[in-house]
Amino acid sequence: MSPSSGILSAPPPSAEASSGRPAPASYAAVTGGKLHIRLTTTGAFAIALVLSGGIVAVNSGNNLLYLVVAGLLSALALSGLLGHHNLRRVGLRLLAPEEVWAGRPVSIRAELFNRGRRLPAFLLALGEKPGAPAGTVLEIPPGVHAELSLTLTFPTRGVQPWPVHAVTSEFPFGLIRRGGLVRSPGLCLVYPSPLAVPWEVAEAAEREGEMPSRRGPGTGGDYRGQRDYAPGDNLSRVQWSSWLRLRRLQTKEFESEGSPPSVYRFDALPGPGTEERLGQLAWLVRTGLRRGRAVGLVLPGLAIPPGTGATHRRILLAALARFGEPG
Amino acid sequence: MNTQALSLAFAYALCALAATAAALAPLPRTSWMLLAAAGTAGALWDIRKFTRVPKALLTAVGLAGFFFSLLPLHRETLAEQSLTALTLLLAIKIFGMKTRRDHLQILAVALLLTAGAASLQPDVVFGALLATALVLGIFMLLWLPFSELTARIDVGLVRRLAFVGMGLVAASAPITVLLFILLPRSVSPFWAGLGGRPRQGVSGISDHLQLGEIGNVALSGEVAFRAEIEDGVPPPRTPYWRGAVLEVTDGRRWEISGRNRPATILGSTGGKRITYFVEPHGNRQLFLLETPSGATVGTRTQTIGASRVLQLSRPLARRIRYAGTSFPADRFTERLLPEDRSLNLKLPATLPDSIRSLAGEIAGGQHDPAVVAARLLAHFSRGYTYSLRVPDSSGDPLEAFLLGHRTGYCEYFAAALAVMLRSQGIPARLVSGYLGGDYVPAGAYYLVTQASAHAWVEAYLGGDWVRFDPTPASGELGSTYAARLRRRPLLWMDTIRMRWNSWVVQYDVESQLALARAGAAHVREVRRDVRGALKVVFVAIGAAALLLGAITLVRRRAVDPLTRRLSRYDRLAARCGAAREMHEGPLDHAERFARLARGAAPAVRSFGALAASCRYGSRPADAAALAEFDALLAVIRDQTHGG
Repeated sequence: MSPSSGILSAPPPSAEASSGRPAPASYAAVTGGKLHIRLTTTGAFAIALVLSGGIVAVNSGNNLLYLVVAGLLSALALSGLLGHHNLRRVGLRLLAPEEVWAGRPVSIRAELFNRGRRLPAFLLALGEKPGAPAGTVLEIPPGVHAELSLTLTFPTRGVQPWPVHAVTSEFPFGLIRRGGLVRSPGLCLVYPSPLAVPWEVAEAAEREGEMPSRRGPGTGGDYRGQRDYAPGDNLSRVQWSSWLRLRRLQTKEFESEGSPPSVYRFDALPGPGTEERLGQLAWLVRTGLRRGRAVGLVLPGLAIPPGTGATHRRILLAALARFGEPG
Repeated sequence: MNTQALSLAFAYALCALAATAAALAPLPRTSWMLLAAAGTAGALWDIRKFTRVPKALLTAVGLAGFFFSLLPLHRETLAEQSLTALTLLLAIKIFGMKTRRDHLQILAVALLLTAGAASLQPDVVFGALLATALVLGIFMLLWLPFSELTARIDVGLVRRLAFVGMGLVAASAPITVLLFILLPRSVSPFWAGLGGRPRQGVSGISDHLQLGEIGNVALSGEVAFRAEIEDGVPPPRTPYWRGAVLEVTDGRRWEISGRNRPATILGSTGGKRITYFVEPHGNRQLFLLETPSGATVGTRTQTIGASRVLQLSRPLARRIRYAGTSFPADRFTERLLPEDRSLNLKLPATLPDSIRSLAGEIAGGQHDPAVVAARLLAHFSRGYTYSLRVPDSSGDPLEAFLLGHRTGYCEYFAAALAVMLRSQGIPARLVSGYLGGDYVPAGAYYLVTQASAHAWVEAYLGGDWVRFDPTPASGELGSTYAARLRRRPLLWMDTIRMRWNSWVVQYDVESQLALARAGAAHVREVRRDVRGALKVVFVAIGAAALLLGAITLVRRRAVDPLTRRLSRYDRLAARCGAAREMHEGPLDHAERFARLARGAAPAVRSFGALAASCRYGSRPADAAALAEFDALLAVIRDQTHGG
């Protein structure tokens, strides 16, 4: 289990995803699921106006009124078709940030993609439920995606599907709000909510040195930054992503080796329950790594040797997030 | 672009339209003046950003004015009162705050006001105003949801929205026409005539005739009616349009008798089928060409009376259409009952003896009614002058005309001849109606104006009612309006008005039934001639295919083969979520596309490299390169579609 970020691709992670490359772009179609169609207040007023006009036209035999009613009816009918077409090619996907913690609000990037080839999509609103948009996009040209920011709170840890979101549009006339309740593809890995632990308890939970540290000669501590490549640098420290992006060789630098490694044991924490212990471990991992220590974990059935760095941090937190999952 | 400014522009444009409609409609002048003033003040307030008048105060004033305009309610003026109240509401709205809701209310009230004004006077100009209001309304409705989301907006987006609006208008036009045709009509609507009050002085033809009346009416250039001839061939002579037959007289005034017995001899059926479009005139008389044999008003076939005229049961308050069949002839056969004979021989009690003597003198002792009638008619061609200005006289007007100034117009000539015929024992009566009119070849119809109002005489000779027209130069009547129209070549405008009236204003249940019948007949025709119909369908499909092929060919030729392939590739990429950005070169884009394209990644990278070398490198886009592009495109398409 080595999630490269807070997102897991769905359906089951592909070879690309597991090899650390970005997950394939997949969007949930707005009109693919449960449809939401509601009349707005303006729409109700417009329909009342057309109906009243129709009644007066029939009872007066006035053809000018018939003309107005026919014009309004045709505009209403076409607005329905146009509104449907506006949403037909729109897809949604949510992209989580690096870390998502249970019980804490997190800012999520939402992408609305217009898969149409000719027509833009207009007036798209995204929110947790219809009628309460968290953000609105005025226009998305064909083949282009627009980004919105959402704030979500996951109550529990673990690998979770994205919550359902409403993508709606009142285009063209604002008379009908139509859209779909969409679940973004992919899964979100939610870390346990960190719970602070007194240091004496933390020390009691440590088993220093009992497990071999991953620290090797020259690997150093936490990531400090990068500099231009100099001949003789270890190739394993070359920042290849910079080469791909900037066509420039750079070498990663790490902190010098710091405090002795710490290994925190699930059983040694006060708890009282499993979730509390996981939360306390998450806090210890986060704090320990932040202070430059190599941190390891001993969970029932799983032992992770001490290590440092961002990847190691994600491995530890993912293990805590997925603790107790079957398989 | 400032969104609020555009919303305001829509609101003021709608207000201006509504004010124009109010100005053109028969509404109090204050209505449009109030709208214009409120619009100007509102614009000033919006531009200068003056302190707003409290909304509660405006609402209170608006409501007070609304009820003041409406109360007390009068059935006759209900439409005018309602529209005046609406102008007040619109004035308050255009002057006050303009949130999205206010804009929507302005749109609704302006539309109602324009439609209401158009109902009062359903002229083609109002049709144009109404269409403009509807189009503006569509654009405004399209715009308002955007305007409330942002203060400034990209001009490009506004342009794209304008295109969407134009598409909507273009698409809704045929649907509007279809709905207009299909929406159900009532046979006898409850509020028929609502807002269609007759205009004063439109018609001079009524159930009575006072000497001097037609002369006044003939000075008017108003349109009385239009008559569309089905076969498009006008009658060979100047047509006479019958309105009312006047049999009872006291010497100065002629009236209809009130006897309304059916015709005893109608002659053969058939004749020229004519559709009449009559302006509202507030009288009960309808008009028919010369010798009518039948008429249909609405869905009802009317009984043609012995007088060969058509009369409604109530005054005409709105434009109507009816059909009639007539024979262009100056006589028709009808049995004369004894009571009819005595009625048509009765002379006014105050008839001066001088007139009797003159008639006897002209008859010269002849006993043959036809000869006597001919002599009396010929008398008016000697020394009598046609003029709408009749000298004043204190005594009997007919005596003054016949023996005094000898100047008059159709009523004088007709009344004098009728009285003289009666005095010689020949049953005679007056017929009022119209003479001639302007034949409009473009629309195959007669345009008959009030200037053509006329009166003539019918005498009963040998079992026939025969027309006698003693008015000299009567063929020139009614030319004033036509001459005016020809000077300002506006006859085509009248053709548009005619079509507007016949196709829109007077479209009714009968028209719907006629359309349905025509459709059914067409279907029957197709069933009878299936091969012919199939031939038409195949030809149409073939023509459409050819046209489509030609358009495709032209579009393909306009683009060079390399660009065409690159566009296809870009479309595939966009479909996979890797639409090419403006700044992306082929290699960078291919790399991004490849990451998303999974199985097609190698082909995508190869395509990118090939595109870069053909577009920017030294490799020519020759047949081999194009074939390579096609092969790669096929792989990418298969892989991405499969995925």
